Amino acid sequence: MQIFTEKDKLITVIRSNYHLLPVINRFGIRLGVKDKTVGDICREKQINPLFFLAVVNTFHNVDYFPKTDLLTVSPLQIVAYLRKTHQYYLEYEVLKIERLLEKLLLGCPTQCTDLKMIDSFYRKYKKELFLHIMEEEEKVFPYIISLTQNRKRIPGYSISSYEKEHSDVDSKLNDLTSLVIKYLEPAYNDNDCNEFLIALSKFERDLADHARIEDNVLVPLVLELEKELGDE
Amino acid sequence: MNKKILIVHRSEMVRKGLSAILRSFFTAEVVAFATPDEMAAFSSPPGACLLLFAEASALPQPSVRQRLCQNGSLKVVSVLLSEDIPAGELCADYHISLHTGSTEIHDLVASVFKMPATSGANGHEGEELTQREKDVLKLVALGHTNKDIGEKLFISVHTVISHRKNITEKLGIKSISGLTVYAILNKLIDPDLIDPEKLI
Repeated sequence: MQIFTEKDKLITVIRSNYHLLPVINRFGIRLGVKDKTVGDICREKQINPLFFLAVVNTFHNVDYFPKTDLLTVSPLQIVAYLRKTHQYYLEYEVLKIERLLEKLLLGCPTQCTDLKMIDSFYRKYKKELFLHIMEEEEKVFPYIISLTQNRKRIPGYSISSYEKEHSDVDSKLNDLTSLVIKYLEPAYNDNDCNEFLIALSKFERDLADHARIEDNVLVPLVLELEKELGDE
Repeated sequence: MNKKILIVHRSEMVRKGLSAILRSFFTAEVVAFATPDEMAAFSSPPGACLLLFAEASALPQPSVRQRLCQNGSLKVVSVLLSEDIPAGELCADYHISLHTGSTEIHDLVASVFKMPATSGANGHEGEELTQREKDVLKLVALGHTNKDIGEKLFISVHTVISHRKNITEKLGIKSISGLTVYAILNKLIDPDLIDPEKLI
């Protein structure tokens, strides 16, 4: 398992895994990194290096689990990162997949019932994903921000009610990918379909990572905070 | 229920090998640590069902057990070097050794989690659906409730649920809209009969 540290150059990190680029962007880091190390860039951009490395390493290694010192990261920073991720999904990733699917549909010479079904499925999935993101943006994140800033419990709300939501959104995307791979009719354009499927898998991976950051980093931190602040 | 598998072992080979075996059978999250200290940062979601594989020197003390449990359940598997279970008290619920085969590990985990495997050698993924399962799937895809389906096919709701579980296992598709798309793509139902906007 390759674990990045503060001493690693950013170019090493990027070249090891290009999928990390959008992740790094979410911290406000852009290309033109010269020979700067992770530590250099984090100081420059006033990013907590522990959190940066936790996110990058969790994304890079499915097995990685951030250690105790992460408890020093403020939930506000994590929320800010997760919000950037949501923005990336809504403004880029979801639209990109939609575009690729549209291209795939247009390129299909026959009636393409199968692709139309896949399209309906994706639309439905998109709606559910939006609802899920809205729920986090409008309820969960404000709760965490208020808890952190005011250091006071809010009656009737706890972070533990939050985790079960994920699995459903994840499993739909998984279903979609399997359906395309297993049951697509031959009348489609290879390249268009490959692009669509690769984008879909990349998104699936990014979402799974997003959920891991929420479940393994954010939720334990907030649970700890709730315990510290006592009962509602 | 939220299921998680934890591994605490100094040997990277054991951690990696065990995770690989577990992942090939189960979808539960597997998290590996080299030492109990590393695991101290881990907190389980309340009510989770945990299974911990640990080498003898890393078996959890009662206080750690309690912390991990959090209203859920925790079972501990001791990972021994050889097949001889050492004399004396071992605070583990199960034992495996470095010689234990993957099938045995699979059976152990499946019985602890009281679940069938979702994929892999012992799973049912890829098996063909029976005629009865196809009948149930058609009705699921058309948006009927379990109760409706039971009445139409003259079977109990319990039987409907058990058929649905098998269908999901065999196809590897969990969501209802996914099953509907499957049924259309495999010509179990006629797409002209349904309104995709409503059913998918």
